[in-house]
Amino acid sequence: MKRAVALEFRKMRRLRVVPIVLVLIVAVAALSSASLFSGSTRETFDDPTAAPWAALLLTYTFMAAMTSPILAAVLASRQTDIENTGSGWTLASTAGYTPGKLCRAKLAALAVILLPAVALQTLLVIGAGLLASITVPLNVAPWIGYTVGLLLVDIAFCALHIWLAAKVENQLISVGIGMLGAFIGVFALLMPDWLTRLIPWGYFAMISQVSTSGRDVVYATPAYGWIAGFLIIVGIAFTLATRRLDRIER
Amino acid sequence: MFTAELTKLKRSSLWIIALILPVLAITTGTINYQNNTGALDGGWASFTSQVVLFYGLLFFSIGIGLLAATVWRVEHRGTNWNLLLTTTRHPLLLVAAKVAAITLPIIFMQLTLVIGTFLSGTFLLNLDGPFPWQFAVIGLLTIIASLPLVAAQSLLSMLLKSFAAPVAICLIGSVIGVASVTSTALQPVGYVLPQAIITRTMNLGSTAISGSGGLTLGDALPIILTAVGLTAVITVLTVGAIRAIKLR
Repeated sequence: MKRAVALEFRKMRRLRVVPIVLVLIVAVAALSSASLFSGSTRETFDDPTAAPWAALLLTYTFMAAMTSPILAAVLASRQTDIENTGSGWTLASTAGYTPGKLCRAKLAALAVILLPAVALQTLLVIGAGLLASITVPLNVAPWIGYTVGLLLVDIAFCALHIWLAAKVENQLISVGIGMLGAFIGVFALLMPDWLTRLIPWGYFAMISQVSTSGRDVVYATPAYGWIAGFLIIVGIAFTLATRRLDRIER
Repeated sequence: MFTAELTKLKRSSLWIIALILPVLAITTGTINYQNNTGALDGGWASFTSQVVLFYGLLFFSIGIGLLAATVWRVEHRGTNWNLLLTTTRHPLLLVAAKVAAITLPIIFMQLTLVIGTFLSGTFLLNLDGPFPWQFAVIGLLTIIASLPLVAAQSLLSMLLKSFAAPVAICLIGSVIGVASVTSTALQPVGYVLPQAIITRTMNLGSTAISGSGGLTLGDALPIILTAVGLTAVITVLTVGAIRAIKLR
């Protein structure tokens, strides 16, 4: 497995995965913190009751829900489509890497990329907040909680899209579903809770550590049980699906 | 040549974008309007703004990126590219045919959006007053405003063999586009960036984004002229690229 993951990184070099991820996380972080520099927001920076950090986290949650599903779909599709185009599945099989194993290696490799990427994205948003001189002390716990949640949900969606990209050669299906999912992901922040739980992309909203009550933004505890359940289901489904990929004829 | 392009699109699952995306926009807009009748009481104006809010900000542009990538996908398979280069027709015709093939589902999308919004607003939400004709005009204007992005994504999808790479570039452009519409510092970018041109057109006269301009000749004409000009420039670039760049 280690060798298979190392191979995935070799394949990544010419795919420009790292530049794409870097540009996108910087853009998303910039967009999340753009409102910091407007006049009306600046007045709230030294007012603890206005909760400027929570408001920033909410904007960040919103932007991440809008872009992350597409990013996950694009990364997974790029990493998987190379096998479709160059009869890579067959080649890897002759070297002892079955399609299922290849998919799991791809997921592991993408997870390794996403870990620093998501962390950097959060740090950039916090950095922008400090740069804009928010004087209210920062409550670190919700930010860490959200970052970990976002990373895990991102990885879960990478798993889904790797499977889709491997199963359906037409990449429009995988990336198209990612885009429609992003639409649902943004909207999930406005949906009632019971509905959000039932929709996979709703988990980009479920991991939110802040919510709005009336006109105020307040910290809220996400339903960890549901999130854990979602991740476990995705894990089991991915394991079973990739095992099945080993047994189909191409 | 255009007919050939349409044949290539058979069974390409384009409907996933062309049909579901506008339907999703209308559905979310309708639910959002219904849940927030207290805050949104502007009738048709609020409802149409809700429908195009996310659709116009990001997803319509990404949809175009996906459509363009799908239209060019066939040329990157097997030896199709070499076959394509043996055509005796002028490359400009090929580029124009590709742009037309991408625009056709966009027209379908916009028609679905306008008609669907009318149906949902009239029969589901029972909104008072007549359907705003401005919304239909903007829907059609957006088709023209989307041409620069169509041409640009067509160029990218031609140059890049991978399906997802041009879509990723489109996403980056869209994020910058959102920033250029919402912030004043980046506003100049909004006049030339294809994604931002779309967002600005869709939000002409919208109540959701402040300072988006009204649906007047003075606001719409510069956008249209820029769009047509940009499309011409990118089309010429694409023809040049076909001739100058060896893709294999």
